[in-house]
Amino acid sequence: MARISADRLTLGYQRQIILRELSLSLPEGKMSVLVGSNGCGKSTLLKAMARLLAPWQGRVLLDGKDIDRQPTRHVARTLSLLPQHPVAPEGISVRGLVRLGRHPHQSWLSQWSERDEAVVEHALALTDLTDMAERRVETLSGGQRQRAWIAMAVAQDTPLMLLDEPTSFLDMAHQMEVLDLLKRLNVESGRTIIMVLHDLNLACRYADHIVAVRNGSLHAQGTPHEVITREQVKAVFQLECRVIEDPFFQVPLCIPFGREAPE
Amino acid sequence: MGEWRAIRLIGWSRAIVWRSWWWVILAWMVAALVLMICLGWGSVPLSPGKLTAALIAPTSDLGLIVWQLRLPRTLLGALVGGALALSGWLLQQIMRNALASPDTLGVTSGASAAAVSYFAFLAADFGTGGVPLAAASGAIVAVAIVYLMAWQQGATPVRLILTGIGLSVLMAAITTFVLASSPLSTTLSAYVWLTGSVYGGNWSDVSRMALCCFLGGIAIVPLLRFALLAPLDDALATGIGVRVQLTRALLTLLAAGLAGIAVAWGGAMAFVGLVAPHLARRLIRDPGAAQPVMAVLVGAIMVMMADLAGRTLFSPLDLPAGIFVAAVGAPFFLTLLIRQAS
Amino acid sequence: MTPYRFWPVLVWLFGLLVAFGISLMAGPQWSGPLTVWHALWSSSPGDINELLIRTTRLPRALTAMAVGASLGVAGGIMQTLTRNSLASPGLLGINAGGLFVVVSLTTLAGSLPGWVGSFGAIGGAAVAAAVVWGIAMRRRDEAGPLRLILAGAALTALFNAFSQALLVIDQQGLDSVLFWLAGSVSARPLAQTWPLMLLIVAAVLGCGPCLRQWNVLAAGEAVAVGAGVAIRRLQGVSILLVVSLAGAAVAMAGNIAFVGLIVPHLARRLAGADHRRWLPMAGLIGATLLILADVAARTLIAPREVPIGVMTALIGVPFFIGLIRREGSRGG
Repeated sequence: MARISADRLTLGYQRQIILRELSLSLPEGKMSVLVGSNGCGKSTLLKAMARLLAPWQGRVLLDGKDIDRQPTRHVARTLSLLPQHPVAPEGISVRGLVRLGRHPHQSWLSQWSERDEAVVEHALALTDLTDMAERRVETLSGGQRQRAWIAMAVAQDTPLMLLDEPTSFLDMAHQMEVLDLLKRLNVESGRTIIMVLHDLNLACRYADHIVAVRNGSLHAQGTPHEVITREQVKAVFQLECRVIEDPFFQVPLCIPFGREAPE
Repeated sequence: MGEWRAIRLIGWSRAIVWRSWWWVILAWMVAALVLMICLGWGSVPLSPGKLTAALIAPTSDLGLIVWQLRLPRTLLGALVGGALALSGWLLQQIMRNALASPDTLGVTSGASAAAVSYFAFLAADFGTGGVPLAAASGAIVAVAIVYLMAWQQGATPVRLILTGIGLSVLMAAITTFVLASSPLSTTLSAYVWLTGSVYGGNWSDVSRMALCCFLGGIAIVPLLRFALLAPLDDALATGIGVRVQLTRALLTLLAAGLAGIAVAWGGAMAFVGLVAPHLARRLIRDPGAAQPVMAVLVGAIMVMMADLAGRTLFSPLDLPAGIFVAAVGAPFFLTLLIRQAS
Repeated sequence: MTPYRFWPVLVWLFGLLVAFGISLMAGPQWSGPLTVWHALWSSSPGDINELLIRTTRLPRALTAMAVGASLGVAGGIMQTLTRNSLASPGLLGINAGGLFVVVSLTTLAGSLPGWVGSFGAIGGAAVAAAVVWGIAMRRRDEAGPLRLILAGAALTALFNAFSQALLVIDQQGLDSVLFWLAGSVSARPLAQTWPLMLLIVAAVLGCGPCLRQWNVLAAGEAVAVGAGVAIRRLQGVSILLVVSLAGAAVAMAGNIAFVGLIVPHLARRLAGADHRRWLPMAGLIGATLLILADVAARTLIAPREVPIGVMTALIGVPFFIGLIRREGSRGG
């Protein structure tokens, strides 16, 4: 059963078409990863699923209903989003930032209920930020800042989380840290996580479901073993490679060759 | 729980940073002190004792000076400063730029063009009582034009600012044209108005202005939490369920209305809308509801003091308060720009 | 390098001549081409029409030509230097700086010989240019262009506030200064403006050796340094040229909006990206535009006059907003 799906979606910016007639449904309670080469439209697809872009044709369905016809606050209680380069208000503290995630659950009367407080503290604890809750966001390091943003999405307390390249600009250790955190959210509270990742091997490690986008249309989807094969990688990325079994985690491991293929 | 204290009453709840509100209380006290100084100082200086006596007896000679001359004028200045500061704070939030102000969006220049045209073409027939109305409508029309011109599937802050600056130049040209082509007496009164002055403010001005400010204040109550969210980028704001374009338009309209009211009664007092919110931000770092309140108080204090300086420093000349606002605000602003660039 | 093509420049040169001729003929009472010809080449002292042409319209047309050309070229140089297509002397506060000095000299010192005001204006322009330049060059990032424009707007507001303050204090000065504020090319006899004209000619000629280096600079500062351009010196010389041109224009004609902004855009669209082609073109277009704007300004509501600064703002603002909208849609 899928909570979010795309129904013959056509999308673009200005006069340029990016996605053509794409239909897709993503499994509930799983981690799904969108992969594809630069400019193939995977980020655009994610944006459309988060109602940031109005489709030219087709619809995005959330719980069976057109997402653009649902009140945006209602959607925000079901689906949270972390864009690629989020900008924080100047001078805000980490706790203040995380609290912003509670916005869809608040009203003019109730702007800091006990539940708000409990969820914010839980989100801070989960992302290991409790000690830094009073620090200003601009003083954090890249990895800490990314965790703060994820904490904000966690505080939004939604069954669906959409993340656009949550690991970009992070070093390898911090990438693992962020992905481990997301995996934990997925396993422990059963959240559906949908994200765009660039690193195929990390995608194989963490994803239950991989969607490969190529030139604005769906190329393949399925488990890592089904999608990450030598032929598919060549078709999607125009890249020569070998795919072997990861000796530790039993997932596909892609070794890119580039121009100089070994004999 | 760090800096926040939760205040909860049945369904009502808020998170409060006490430290910020201590500053606000302090600012209230400073404002009250400045008000007293403004009432006591002038061509007839009053000691605290005499001032109290005058305040108690409104019909005595000194009472008349205080109640009919100084108090309405000072209150008008405070309201003008407060409205400009709040408008500036809102615009800086919406435009995500500490350098935005009612000037940048063409609000003040639109109001100026309308008011000066009124002075030149209509004041002879209808008296100068219509200037506030003309100025306020000029402000609203200018912002409406800027918004329409900047609209392309939504309005982005950068496009709004640039369009606003463009329109400001046009409005300034129209203002100059009208000034240059009308008789000198009109030009002079219009020019004093342009510089910004609360000279001759009376109780009917104060009550009408206060009513407008009150309405603006009511309008901001439900919008305040969206104003606090405005610095988030559009994608995030949409993600947490904010209707970005709608709230942006409403907040801009509110800011334009406030600036329009202020300009209508106080003239084009440049820099209050820019400097006061910035000072408030500096005093209260935490982005919460205390910030706009602080901005209002700082703006009120600034204009009251500028007006005091205008009527006492070069007495018997009564100079427009706007001159002193500019003289203090401008150097401040330039240092701000240089700091921001480094 | 493609060979330099002369014909577009020649076409515009011809256009400029025509505009110049029209300007000499135009007025409350239009004169025929023959009258103009006679007025210029043979002096028959008794004829009032010819006298009018020689003493009023000719200086006026020359002033408009010089001011338009210098604003066009100055705007073009600034756009190259800041790598920002929205830069211009008017938007960046350079005009306002010049005006402020003129106003303060007039109000504080009373009547002064004309040249003091002129060089005061240039000095004010220089100060404003230095401040804006300092702010713009402190840090370059994606917020740079916006900060530059805001700095310019703030500087304009600042100088205007000071000018207003002075004028409110000294109300007698207001009437005599108002024409500066509105911008005007009238009532400046050549006997007063010739040093400024010379300065403009010198500055325009001074652009010549810089043209090729500007071409390299347009590709980016790092590229220019890599290509062996002495970048600090080039920037210094360029600012000097801008200040001379814009300052002289302000000193002659007061506050004229938007010519420095729109003309370089027109020139680039007509002549391409090579400075050796479009910068002379910017000068020609600026001169032609201002002469025609002046003709319109004095004939539209004759016998009264629209200040020429208002004319150029009326033409320029729609263009400016169109430019922003186009850039906005390109950015996505």
